[in-house]
Amino acid sequence: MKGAEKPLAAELSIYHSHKHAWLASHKEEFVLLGEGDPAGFYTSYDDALRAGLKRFGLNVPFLVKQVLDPEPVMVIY
Amino acid sequence: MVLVQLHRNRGELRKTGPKIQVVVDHFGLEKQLAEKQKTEFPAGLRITALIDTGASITLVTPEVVRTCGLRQTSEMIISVAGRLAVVPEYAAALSFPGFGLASFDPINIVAGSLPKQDIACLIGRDILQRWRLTYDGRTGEVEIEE
Repeated sequence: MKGAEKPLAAELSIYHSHKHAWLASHKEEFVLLGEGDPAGFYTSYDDALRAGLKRFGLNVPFLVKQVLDPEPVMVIY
Repeated sequence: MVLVQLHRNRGELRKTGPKIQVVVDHFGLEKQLAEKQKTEFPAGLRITALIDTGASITLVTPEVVRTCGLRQTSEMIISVAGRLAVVPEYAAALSFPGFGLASFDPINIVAGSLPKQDIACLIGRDILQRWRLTYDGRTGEVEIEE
């Protein structure tokens, strides 16, 4: 039996494949990705979340991720 | 200014650390949209949290995420207990009922296990950046000033 795909796997894959291009023009902005496509860049997490809900609604998963390199590592001691 | 006193017992504070009750819920915009569309979400979940100056981001257990039905928005790398892990990120709202502290809505939190602990949340420095926290181990008093 095929295992369930990781949530947002397609969106994360798109993010990682486009990240270097986006770093040139959208560094530190928040990219919104849903239904396999980038849906915009926003200056805050809140704005990207709001736009995601407006565009995709309650039932469609969407990714909100800050364009950063390297990826930050959050530490929990 | 809001001033909250959390503990008054020195031994208890030493043993358990500074704890606070927190309600984890869907973020406000999501709840508003759900109400418009007559979609029901689970009620906010009241849990016990440890105020953790060693946590750079607020964390809840996967059980809390499942119970609340939070929306995953991404994933991130955390360094915990000597190893790196990729954990899911969720959009949520956090409030502190009865304390008069401002809510965090929306807030980006992560999920991770807290095995064999009587807490379901670590309040991290993403929240602490809005508070002045005073920990007095001599008297057992913890104060939050907002």
